[in-house]
Amino acid sequence: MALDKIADKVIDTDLLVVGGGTGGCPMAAKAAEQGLKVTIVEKSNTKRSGNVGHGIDTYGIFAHGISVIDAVRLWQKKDMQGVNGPGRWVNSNIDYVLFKQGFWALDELERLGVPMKWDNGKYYWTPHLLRAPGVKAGLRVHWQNVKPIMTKMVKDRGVEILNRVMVLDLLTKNNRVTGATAVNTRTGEFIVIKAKAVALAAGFLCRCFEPETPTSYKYKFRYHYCPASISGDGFAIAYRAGAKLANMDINAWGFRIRDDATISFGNFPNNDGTPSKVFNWKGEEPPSYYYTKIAGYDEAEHIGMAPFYQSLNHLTDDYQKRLELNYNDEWLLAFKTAEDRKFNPRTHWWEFGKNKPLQFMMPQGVATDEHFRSSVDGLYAVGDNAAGVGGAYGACISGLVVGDTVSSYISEHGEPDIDEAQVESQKQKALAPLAVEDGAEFMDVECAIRYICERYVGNMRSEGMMREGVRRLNTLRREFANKIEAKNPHYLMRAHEVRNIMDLAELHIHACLNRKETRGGFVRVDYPEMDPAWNQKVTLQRMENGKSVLEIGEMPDLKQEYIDAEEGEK
Amino acid sequence: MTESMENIVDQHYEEEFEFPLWKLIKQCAEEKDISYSEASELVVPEYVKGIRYGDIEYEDAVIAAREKEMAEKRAKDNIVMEEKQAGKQLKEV
Amino acid sequence: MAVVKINYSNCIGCKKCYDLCPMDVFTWDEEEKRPVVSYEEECWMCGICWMDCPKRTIDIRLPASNW
Repeated sequence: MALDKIADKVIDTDLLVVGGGTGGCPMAAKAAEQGLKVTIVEKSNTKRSGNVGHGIDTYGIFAHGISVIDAVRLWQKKDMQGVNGPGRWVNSNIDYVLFKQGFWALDELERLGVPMKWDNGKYYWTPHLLRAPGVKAGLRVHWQNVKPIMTKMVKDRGVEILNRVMVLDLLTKNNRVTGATAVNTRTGEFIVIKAKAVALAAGFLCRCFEPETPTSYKYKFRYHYCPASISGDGFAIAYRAGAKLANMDINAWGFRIRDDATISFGNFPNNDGTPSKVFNWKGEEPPSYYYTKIAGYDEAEHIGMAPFYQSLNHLTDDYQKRLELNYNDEWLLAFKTAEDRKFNPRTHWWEFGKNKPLQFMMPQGVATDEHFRSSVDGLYAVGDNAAGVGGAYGACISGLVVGDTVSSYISEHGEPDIDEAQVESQKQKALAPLAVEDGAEFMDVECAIRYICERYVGNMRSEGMMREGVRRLNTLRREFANKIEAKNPHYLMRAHEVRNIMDLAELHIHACLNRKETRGGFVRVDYPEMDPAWNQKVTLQRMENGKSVLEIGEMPDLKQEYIDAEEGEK
Repeated sequence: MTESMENIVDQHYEEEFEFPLWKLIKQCAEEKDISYSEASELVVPEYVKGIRYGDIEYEDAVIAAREKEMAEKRAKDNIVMEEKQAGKQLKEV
Repeated sequence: MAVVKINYSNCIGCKKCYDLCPMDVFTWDEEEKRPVVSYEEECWMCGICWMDCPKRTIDIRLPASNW
């Protein structure tokens, strides 16, 4: 086989799972139970990788007290962190599947050994969210050590795990995915993986913007809301393989936070019905306009009302203990850093700043149908990697659904046909940074990209600023894309992360330039009105013949067959 | 007369304190000579028993009290913003 | 000031920190059988090495810029 001569290692598998997180692991376990040969390729180590690496305290959005169809309708109207506006951002058929399969997924996770119930054998539904029928009900979970548990879950089922391996590009032929090329980030081995189907579960992208917490010249990976290992790999490789990405203009935003490690970044205060209070420095509770709206914060600064602080001083002793549990389940280190800094949530406030762009998540990602199939044959995307499928619950449900159904695709389509020329070409790109001498440091280029996204795109977008951003990004690409040096396989991984971030930043600016309206959290200061022509439309971007293609797609309506099915069940 | 910088020191950041749960986890880890994550798994189930999870009456009361506060604040905010709007056109972004 | 500090007198060379770090901050010294903090600038202080170390021998300290 010529592949053996090109690659240091060749892997032949049925299902390649890119990313061993809370989407990839349940998927792998389920697919293995169907008799498939499954390989997880994980950039770090599945025992502690991904967004729930050191835990999470909340799982789920469930429909409760209302029908699945009503839940879908309600969800479409719901304002997700202010990012969404009227009109649909995502595929309501995906919402349907997530609500419909929510309880099935819960049973499956329990069966697979993932702790959803508490020691008393019961689920604990966060009470606040259950007080009215709706779509918010969530489970309180003790998931500090869920990743070691999920790792055991997949190993027990014979799943092959390749840790410290980064997938660099997907292999395709005639718009079908045939596998991937990858590199071991420690040994530098170049690996070819042949696969009958590939599922992307590599999370979203946070490193195209500045971290929420201020950083020095040095610790530039300091992100509060998501692990710094998440670098949009699953988006970028899909894009380069010709799969459509959706909503690359609609990023999430939130407030800059100080004292981040002194509080759990879990959803505790809101989900348990005791939201934090907000004070200004004088101890007054100002109107929320001043700290939730960018213009409001600017005004507050100009009139001397800033800074603003959040407080949980009002919690009862019992609820302070609940907060401790949240620290434990979501970020154990937070105990230590809070105590080191003498930050006591019972008596202290933490400062937060103006809203800023945060990360690519929720409505963004690989565009899929409700079976989580992308526009490339045999390529699936789940969890944060897929558009409209966010959160631990979204990852688990979509992962389990794909694990359950991918075997029929595989049995119909059989062996992939690897294009060896494509492998050679990808290998050259893969290893090129190792040969660069006196080149650019990866972090320098990454910071240049982040700066462009922050300053020239940001939250308050305009034509002139974005065009300048495009010009600067084009310059960066021309001057530095092929000059990022990698002294060893570890830095090779970083060089490729920056390559991915650069591709995605480009898509982001182009998509933002193309949307000439303001809608919800997407603000064009030069087009301040909502354009009804954009209702139920979605920006779709893919690579074709080496060029970036942008099209406007139609968001599909909820299928009549699903509405009928729900009627039938009544 | 300028205010002495000493008066602006926030004394709170100088008071040592311990999280009760974290203290128990550390003690368990040291006694058994295990990792913090392993100790947490041993300590937490007991700690949970001291919290009124599932005490619906209690939880409802806490939630209702906070909701009442938030409703009152929203009402006050609305008045303030209306007055502001009357005086100045706001750009809602 | 090191943000990730290993107390080598207690380290038993179990390799957990080296195996688990999501940012691949450690390398492994095969001769000494111990971890080395080789990419400290890439540490984002998640605390996984600190919480999983069976001898509790790793200390994580926030840098000044994060206070």
